[in-house]
Parts: sequence; C-alpha cells; structure tokens
Amino acid sequence: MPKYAMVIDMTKCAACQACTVACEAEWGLPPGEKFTRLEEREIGKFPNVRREFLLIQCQHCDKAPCIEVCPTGATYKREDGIVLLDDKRCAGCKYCMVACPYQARVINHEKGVPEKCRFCYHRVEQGKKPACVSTCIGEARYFGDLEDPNDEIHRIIHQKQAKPLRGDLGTKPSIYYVR
Amino acid sequence: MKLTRRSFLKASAATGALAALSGGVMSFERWAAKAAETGDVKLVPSICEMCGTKCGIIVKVKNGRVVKIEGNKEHPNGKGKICARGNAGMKLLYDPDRLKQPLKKEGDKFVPISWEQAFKEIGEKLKEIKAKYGPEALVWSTHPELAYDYEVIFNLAFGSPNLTSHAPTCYSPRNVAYKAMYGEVPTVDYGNVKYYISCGRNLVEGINVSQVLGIMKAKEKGAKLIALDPRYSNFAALASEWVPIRPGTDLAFLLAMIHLIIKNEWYDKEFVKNYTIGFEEVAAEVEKYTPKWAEEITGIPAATIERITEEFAKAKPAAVVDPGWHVSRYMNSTEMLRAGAVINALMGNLGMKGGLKFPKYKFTKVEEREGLWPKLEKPKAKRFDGAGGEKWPLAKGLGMIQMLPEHILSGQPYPIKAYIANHHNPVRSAGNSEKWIEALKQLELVVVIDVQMSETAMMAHYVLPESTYLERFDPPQIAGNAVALRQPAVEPLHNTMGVDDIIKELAHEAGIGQYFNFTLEQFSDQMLKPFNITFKQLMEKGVIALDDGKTEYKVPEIKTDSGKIELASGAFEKAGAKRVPTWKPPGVTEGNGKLRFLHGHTAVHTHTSTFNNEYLHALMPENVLWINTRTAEKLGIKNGDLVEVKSDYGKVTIKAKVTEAIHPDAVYMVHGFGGFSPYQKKAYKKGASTSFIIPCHVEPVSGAAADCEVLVEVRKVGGGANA
Repeated sequence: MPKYAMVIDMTKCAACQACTVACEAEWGLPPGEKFTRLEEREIGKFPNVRREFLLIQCQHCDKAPCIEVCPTGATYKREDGIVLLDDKRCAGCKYCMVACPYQARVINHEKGVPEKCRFCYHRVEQGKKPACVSTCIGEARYFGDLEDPNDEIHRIIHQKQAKPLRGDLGTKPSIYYVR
Repeated sequence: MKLTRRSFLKASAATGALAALSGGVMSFERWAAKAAETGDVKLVPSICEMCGTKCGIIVKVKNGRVVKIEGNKEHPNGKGKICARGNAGMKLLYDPDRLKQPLKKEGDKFVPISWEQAFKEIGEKLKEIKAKYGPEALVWSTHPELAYDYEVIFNLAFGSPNLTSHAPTCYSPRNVAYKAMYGEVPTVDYGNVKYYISCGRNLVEGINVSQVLGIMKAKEKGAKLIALDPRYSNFAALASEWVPIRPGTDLAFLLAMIHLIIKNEWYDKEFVKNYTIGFEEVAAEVEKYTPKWAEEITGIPAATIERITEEFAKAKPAAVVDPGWHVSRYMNSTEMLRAGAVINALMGNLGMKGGLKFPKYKFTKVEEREGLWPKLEKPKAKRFDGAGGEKWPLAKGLGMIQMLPEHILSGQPYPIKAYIANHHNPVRSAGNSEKWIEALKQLELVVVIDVQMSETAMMAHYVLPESTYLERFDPPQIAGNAVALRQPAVEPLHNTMGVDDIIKELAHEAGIGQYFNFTLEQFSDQMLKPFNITFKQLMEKGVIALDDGKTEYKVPEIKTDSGKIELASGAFEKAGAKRVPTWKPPGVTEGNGKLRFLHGHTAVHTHTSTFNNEYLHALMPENVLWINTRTAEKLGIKNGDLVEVKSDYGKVTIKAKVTEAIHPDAVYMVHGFGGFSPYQKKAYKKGASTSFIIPCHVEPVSGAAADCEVLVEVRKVGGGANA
C-alpha cells in the first residue's frame, strides 16, 4: 500500500497561485473556495526588509485532529494516507475547522460542509500527479510514495531537508516544507 | 477542405484520447472519480490566450463543455505548466458578461445588429472615409496575436500606414536598443544563468511560464539573482538580493557597472575584439560614471555596486542583464536598455550557455509571402505618429499609439476619421483615459473587436465579438523549436467569429476582398511550407517539433550593418541621442510631497482583460496603493485607509497598503483594476485604474510611453475597515 506525501519547496515558489486555481478548476469549486492558501508576511524595515510566502493546505496528518473530533466519522484517513471527507456523513458541525491547526478547511456554501484538499486521489489513482503539482510553474511541488524506496521524494526530502509545518504539534503531516 | 467553425468537431475528435481507469476495488471515492470521468471526454491540444505568451495547453472537454485546462508537455511554451490565469481559462469562455453578438451604438445605447449588416455598414463607411480623406485616415491598433498577418494585409491593401501595436506601452525601448545594437531582440537562456540582474523585470508577476521554469532551475543550481526594483516585488522575494534602487535610476547603476568592468578589465577581451565595435567610445564615455557618482543618484552604496559588478563579471559568460519586457517606464529607458546591452556584450554572453540567445525559428514576413493575394504595396502616406520618419527613425514598426488622441484632436499631420481596435484596450492601457475618451468621440467610425465589452469598446460605433481562444482557430505559432496550432475545443457558444473571418468579411465590404480569397488552411499551409508541415498535420498533433531541441552554444550571426554588436551606433545619433549610452536623468523628480507613481503586473491578472473572470476576480478583486510606512506616517495614512491619488492628469481613490517593502519616494499599484465598463459586472469599479493618473507621454528615442514619469500627491479621504 502506498503512503502518499508532498514536498513544497517555498524557495522555488513564485507565489503565483497557479496551484490554487488549478485545484479550483480540477474540483469545479465555486469562486473564492480555495483548498490552498497563500500566506504572506513582511519582516524588517526599509531597506532591510523581506517578504515571505507560505502555501497552506490540508496536511493529510497521520494524527489528524479533524478525524479525532469528527462526531459522525465523516472525515477519515485512507490506508494510503489521504484524509478525506464523506459529505453524506457530514453533519456540518465544523468541529474539524476549529480543530485543524493549519486552518486548512473551508466551507462549501452550496453543500454546507467544510471541505479541503483531497490530494487529488482520483488523479493519483490514475498515476497522475495532483493538479497543484502538475501545474506548478516553479516546479516547487513534489508528490510521491514514501513506501516506495525508489521514489525520488525520499531524495528530495533528504537533500532539501524538508520538514513538516509545526512538527512540534505532533500531528505527523504528510506535507514537508523547504523554507 | 475549407475549415469553418462548424467543421472542427470532427478534427478535434481525432486528437482525443482518454486515459482509462485502472482496475481495482471500487471504493466510494473511486466510484466518484469514475463517475466524473465517464461521458464523452476529449482532449484538445491548443494554445492559451489568457495573456500574450501563448503557452501550450490541453483542453479537456466533457459532454461538450470545457471542464479543465492543463499544460501541454510537448509545447516549448510552458512545457506542461500553466499559470493561474491559464488554469482559469474556462471562466472566460463561460463568462455571462461576455460579448455574445455584434452591437451597434444608437444614441447612448448598444443594440444588436446582424453580422452582415455590421460588415456592410462598416465597409461603406470605410470606403466613404477613404474617398474623402485618403486611406491614412484609418488607424488600426492591436495587441499583436496569431492573426496579426491578416491585419497587416488589410491595412496595406486598404492603403493605410497606420497599423500600430501596444509596443510603446510595453517593450519599445528594448526592441529599439537591441535591434540597433544586436540586429535582433534576444532572450535569456534562463535555465543556465549563473548571475542574473533584473532591472525591474518581475519574472514571477509578469509571467512567462517557461522563463519562470528556467530561472527556478538556475536558482536551484545556485545562480545568484539580483532584483533592482524600488519595490520588494515577488521576484525580489525569490531573488538572492534586493537592490532597493531609487525609481528611474537603473541606468546610473548600469553605467557604473560598465565603468568598473572596463576599468578593472573584467570583460571578455576576445569576444569584444571579435564581435563588437565601438568599445573605445564606450570606454571614454563611462570614465566619469564612478560607483560614487552612481551612489548619489541611485541611493545604492558604491560598495554594493562594486561587489555586485565583480561577482557578476566573475560568472561570465553566464552573467546576464535581462533585456526585460515592460520597459517603457522612464524618459531614460532606452539608454538603460542600451547600457544593459553593452554589459551583456562585455560579458561575451551572446549565444553562450546561460547568456543571451536569439529566436531559432521565424515565419517569413507576410509582406514577403506571395501567391495567395495581389502584390502588397507600401502605403503612400507617412504614419500619423511619425514612427519611422525623420524624427522617430527607431520607432519604426513600434509606433506611438499613446499619441493617437493628440493627433485626432489636433488634426495633425492629417485628419484621422476612423479607428479600429483589435484585442486592445488603449482607453485604459495607453495613458490618460479622459483624453482618449474625448478624442474617440471626435471620430466618424470606431470599431472594436474583442471578447468582452472593454472601455474602448464602450466608445465604439460597432462592437464585433470575437470567439474566445477556446472556440476558434488561428494561424500557426512558432514557439522555441516547434510549431503549434490554436484550435477550438468547443463550438462558439454565442454569435461570435474568429478574428481572421472578421477581418476577411470587413475586407470584402471595404472593397479589398480580392486580398482575402484564401482559407485559413491555405494561409497557414503557406506559412508552414518552409518547415514541410501542413495545417492538417498540426491539427492532429497540436505541436510539432522542428528539431531535437538540443542547443549548440555558439555566437550566432549578428545581423547589424557591421555584422558585429554595435556598442556605439550612428542609428541613435540620427534619433537624437549619443552614439553610446549616456546618463540622462528621469523626466520628473520626487520631492516636496510629490511621490513617484509606479505600476505593474500581478501574477493572477493580465493587462485589463481578466478582471471579470470569476476565479481570478475572487482571487484578487481589487488593487491597493503600496506606500512606505514612514511616508504614510507623515501623511497620516494608516493601513487600509481610503486615499486619493492625484497627478496633474487625474485622480483615483484606493485603499492604502502601508508597507516597508517600497522605496519611500514611490507609491505602487497593480494596473488593470478600476474598470469602468458596466458590462463587466464583477470588475466594474473594483479598485483603481492607473490610466487616470498616467499621461500620454513620449520618450524621445524610442517613442515609448514612459508611463512611470508621473508624480502624485496622496491624501487620506476615509478611514479603513479598522479605523
């Protein structure tokens, strides 16, 4: 069984949001509902200033707080590591939204359920990369299988010293960041 | 076969391919995925038009509806990647606010008119104007796209010299400098640069996908990227070093670089000896441009200029000053481009790995093709703007569209009575909106061809709706080492036409139909003939490579008169400049409460064309005014406050973004917002339009619009959300 993971190399991120729109188009999301979020911060004083970006989406945690708090079992984790939501079982209580330390959930106003990145499981099952990875114009995103020793994701995580976001929270995310 | 808009379905079905789902246990999500994949699905290879760079795309059509657009790996532009705008393309196709039928203005209102009637009435009017005032009374402006050759034929056949592009509001200074000095306009071997200097070239907000892919590869290999920009742009965030230069002074920085390179003999002596002329003249000129001198002007410490120059020269020949794109900013922009061109030559980087390169393939010029139309004659009249004439020899082929209102209003050098704009919205992209509106009102005939009701279209007597890029064919494209075709993914949703057919029909009614007795297939086959490729083959494959894609690094043929790079050139002397690049201050100076007004692109919008796209609109619905924290403090402005930005030409109100990431003497806004066409309901009056602030300027050497040569006063007019 594969164990899917992603690397986002922020040093190669163009902050262009191609990933955001590719994801919206892939899933036919209503405008404004985004599974990836570009955060920005400014550090320092002119002229010794810099701006930093960070892309955030569902981290597909191994110890996902959203699964722990879900009263109906609508949110679940597949054996391949992908965390999904079964809308039919979702009561719309939004506990998961509150529980997610990455604030990765967004409300779909048409369905009244809190949605999020699905690691494009339908593409992955066809041997394709998720839409955000496939479109990334900086080639800043990598997707692979941690169970496959020959997958280049091992080399990328190791070489680039990619680390999970807020590893200290103990959520064991499936996304590794280079910053 | 005559290709009509109706016959494409058959063609694109042939290109269709659908990946089958692999077997396995049918889980809930797999069932959902399979349900999403079933139905009539086809994949159509085509070319994006969400901006002008024309990346390859694969359009996924399900049950006759475009559901997804992805990059085409076979296409050199994008190599399988597309940006946010490209990904949002189907939202243009299905925009309810699109133009859906031809319109005619009656009184203050637009009313539907049939295509036949529109062509007939426009044709009659054109013939009448030509008979009364001569063919030069027609000005035709365009953002040149794949059907540009049709526009060339139309104008030459009609007899008008006034076909003109958006160049002066974009790249005129670059083209003028490099054509005169190098014989051609080069681009950068981005993927292999080792030391890259950008003078305001914002690679990740003015996006060309292949170039972004390239620069990221270079960065990963350890290239040093330097961003000269008064604003800490998204490219600065990516770069190794931000140089927060005073606006309009990049020229001084580059002249000091030349001074240092020559003084320290850091240049490639062999290359300079073998491939350039004029070195001694440059050396004499730059003696006075010391780093200390440049520090005074640029605000950048001499030590920084010295360090960057030394590091840069050590990386030669993979050391490049990017020629750039939108460089029509200052009165000294052409000098700045010339200085960069000198530095590139001193590095000997032309044709080298990580240096400058010329395009490998080109189509022949339409004027040189024969057989499908009667011989095309050069128009008798001179151009309305003087481009190519005695005063503006270097603006030849580029023109000065921003000066059209002036010429209409003055009636000089001759009366202009008709104006046709195709894929171009100068009322908002060529300075001073008020003046454009006033001038266009004077004309007897204004026709606009577009996919949506632009502000220029609002001024038209006739609005001719073009099919979007997802609904039409265009003549072929050359991209890198390949030829490619734009072809329809779906039939036109509305009563629209491809611009090729619009021009043809207009020609027939304007009395020049004999120049357009060919089909798009015949026209394209003629273009493709030198490559032994046919239109039909291209329809099937979408993209055809012309070689194995390998690069041979060597100095290419230099097509100047001397056969060498002309560091000193008499061409500039004829245009009123010196033979070598020289310091020239920018046109206006900040101070006494007046701030430099800067503007530029964002990664998620294009020019004035994408603001009604529902995905892109939701992503960035309005712009803000970047203003330095200390400058804002002095003016009593807090983050989010509503401010008025006022120049000598007009004013706008906009929210302030108080930031450390911009030079204290400058303010900045993303352009394209603040649309005032009520037909574009989402975009209408969202944010502020730069076009009310910017004058219709003209830079003396290239004829460029120098659209950052404007000072503004900023004052608070309302509290922000947090006030």
